[in-house]
Amino acid sequence: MEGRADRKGKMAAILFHIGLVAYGIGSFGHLASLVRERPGGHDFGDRALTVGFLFHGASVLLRAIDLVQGGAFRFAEGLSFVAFLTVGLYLLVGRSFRIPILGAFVAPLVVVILLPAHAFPDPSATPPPWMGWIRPLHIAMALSGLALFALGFLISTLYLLLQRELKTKRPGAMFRRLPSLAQLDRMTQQVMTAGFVLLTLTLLTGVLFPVSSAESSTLRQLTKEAMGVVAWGLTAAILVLRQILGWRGRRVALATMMGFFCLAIAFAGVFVGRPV
Amino acid sequence: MKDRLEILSIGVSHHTAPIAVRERVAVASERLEEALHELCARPGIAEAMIVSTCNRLEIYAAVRGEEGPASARAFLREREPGIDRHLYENRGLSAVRHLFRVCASLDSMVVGEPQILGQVKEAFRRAEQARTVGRILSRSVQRAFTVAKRVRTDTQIGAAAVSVGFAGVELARKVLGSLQGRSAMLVGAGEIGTLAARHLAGAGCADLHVVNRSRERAEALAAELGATAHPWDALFDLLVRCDVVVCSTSAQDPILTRDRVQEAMRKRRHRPLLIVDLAVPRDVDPRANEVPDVYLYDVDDLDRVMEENRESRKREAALAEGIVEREAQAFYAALHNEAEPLLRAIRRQAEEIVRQEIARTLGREEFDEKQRAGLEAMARAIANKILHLPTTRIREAGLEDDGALLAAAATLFGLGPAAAEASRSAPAAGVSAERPAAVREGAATARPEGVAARVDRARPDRQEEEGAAALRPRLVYSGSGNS
Repeated sequence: MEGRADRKGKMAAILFHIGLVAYGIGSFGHLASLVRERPGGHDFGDRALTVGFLFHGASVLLRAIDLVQGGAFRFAEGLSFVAFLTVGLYLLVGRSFRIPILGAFVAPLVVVILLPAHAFPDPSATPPPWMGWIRPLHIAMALSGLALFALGFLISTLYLLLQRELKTKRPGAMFRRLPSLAQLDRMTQQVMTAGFVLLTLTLLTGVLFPVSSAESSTLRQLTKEAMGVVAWGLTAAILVLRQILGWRGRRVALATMMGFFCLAIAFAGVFVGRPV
Repeated sequence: MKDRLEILSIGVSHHTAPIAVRERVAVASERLEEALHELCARPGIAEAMIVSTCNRLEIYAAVRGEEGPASARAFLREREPGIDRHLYENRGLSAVRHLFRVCASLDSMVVGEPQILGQVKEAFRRAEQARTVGRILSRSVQRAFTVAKRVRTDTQIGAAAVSVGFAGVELARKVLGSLQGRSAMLVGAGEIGTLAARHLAGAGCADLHVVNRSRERAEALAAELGATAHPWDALFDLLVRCDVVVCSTSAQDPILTRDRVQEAMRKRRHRPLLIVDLAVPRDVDPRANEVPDVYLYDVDDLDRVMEENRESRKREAALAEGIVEREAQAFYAALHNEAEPLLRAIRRQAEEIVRQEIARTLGREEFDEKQRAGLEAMARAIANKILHLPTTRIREAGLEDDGALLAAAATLFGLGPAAAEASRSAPAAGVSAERPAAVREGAATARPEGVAARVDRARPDRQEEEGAAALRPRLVYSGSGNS
């Protein structure tokens, strides 16, 4: 039985590394296209990301089976799941936004997220006791929300870069390659609304059901909950300001980025070095 | 031996002639058909198309020998006796290259502007209506349209605005996205401001407002633009409401200060605002650009944007020139490729065999629709695969002027050199620069002027066709056995 689990772990690691290499190639394609301003490179980058996504997806599936069966959920895996969901969102949803240049930001970010997972696979953590289906569901929603916030963060970054070019009156690559500020703003709103729904469900499942093991440190638990609530509050405030009061522009983009940082801290604060 | 038809472009443009000359030689739209018939009636001209715009008057023609160009020159000289020193003339490959460059907007006053393609399309349509275009011009112009489209797709040549009006619209689109349903305000009644407002209206900005110190002038301008006129006091309220503001008053002091703009932005809840200040002295305090979500552009800023755009177009134009050159060479080689009639005959023969065999097999057996379609597809695929290598070699032989190989191929396929009606009228397959490398290399070095003589030596029995029939490829083949 243990030999089988080992084989599964090795297979997951191989698939993960193939995915990481494909993401690296995708990053190169997208970045080269960004620098040389040739749209063809983005297509190549997207194809490489798709290949990476498939291999990475297979690796994530193997780990998810392990997790559902009560396996430990570690920082490295958390990063891997977030990166996987971010690429998936970009490929499935982000491409419909028709901003090929977004890939030049998503692909390197994913590589940066995955490198610690590659460096610290942390295979020896003790699995927590099985606490039912609600725990994997809670984690899946939290990570999907984080991936959506990551996408919102990247689109807000593009917004600020384009805004800077417009303010300094020197149209450059962003001016030529990005859609309008209004369109970027709309995309951020869509992504953040979806992220907010998932974050709300994550908080509700966290409050109503026991999803953490008793051994989890109280300080870590508090950090996670506090930052999760701060991110939720910030996102709620942004959405209210945007939807009800009609706020737009730079401040909203900055607040969106802050929301992502809060969630990232909540994520890192809880996962680093130990299981949930 | 009679001279074969060659493509010619001759005329004047903004590069070679001042406007005074251009306006004298221009052909009015209502006289175009008459001019085309007049041209084609002259000796040596078999086909003609006239492109007459404010920047150029060009004749594209299929001509024979020296007589054709001389006739075209005489036609232009009759319109403007001193035209010779302004004329440019291209023949053969240079004429194809020139046509492709014109359509791709590489020869335009503003490189990359899209209007010229529409103008050439219109000229071609009129020539088709007048029935003065045949095989050579039709193929050349159609190919030029395809190349122009490719240049637009593969380069960013038309992406950046290079006039004040378009630059204003481009900026507005970059900030606000689609201008449909957006509101804009024109402050003052300056000429350049009015022009910019007209561009905004043309881009879909339907909710236009005009504010001017003189109410009468505001109303007159509003009526002209389809806008709403407002008194001067409404300026601030409209600043809160509108997404784009174009200022062009003759005021000596700023009419919009930083504080005023900041206050408006608070009321707008920081919805982005584009202010285009075309006035000199400026109407808007330059520090207003420091207010978050305000994008203030004055005349110098717009000029800088346009300069960067012009530079960007230059870079893209270099890429476009490469595309045009490759396409022109490939097309010209194909236009005069002696192998094309043979290739058409081989393909037709193969198609006929496939058709007959399918009919025979399907007549014997019971097949449903799906099986029938599968069988037909399989038969065609087999024929194509068998023919692929021989046809590639034959096309290369045509490009390399290898008349002996062409003659051998015709014999091997059982195709005699007798004139076949079907071969004459069938259109040649489209040829693009995206062909196999060997073919491209052949195309780049082909000298079609010499092809005919060399092929003639290989096939001394060939007959030269006369008159309009000489527009067709000179080697024609007909099946002699299988069909």
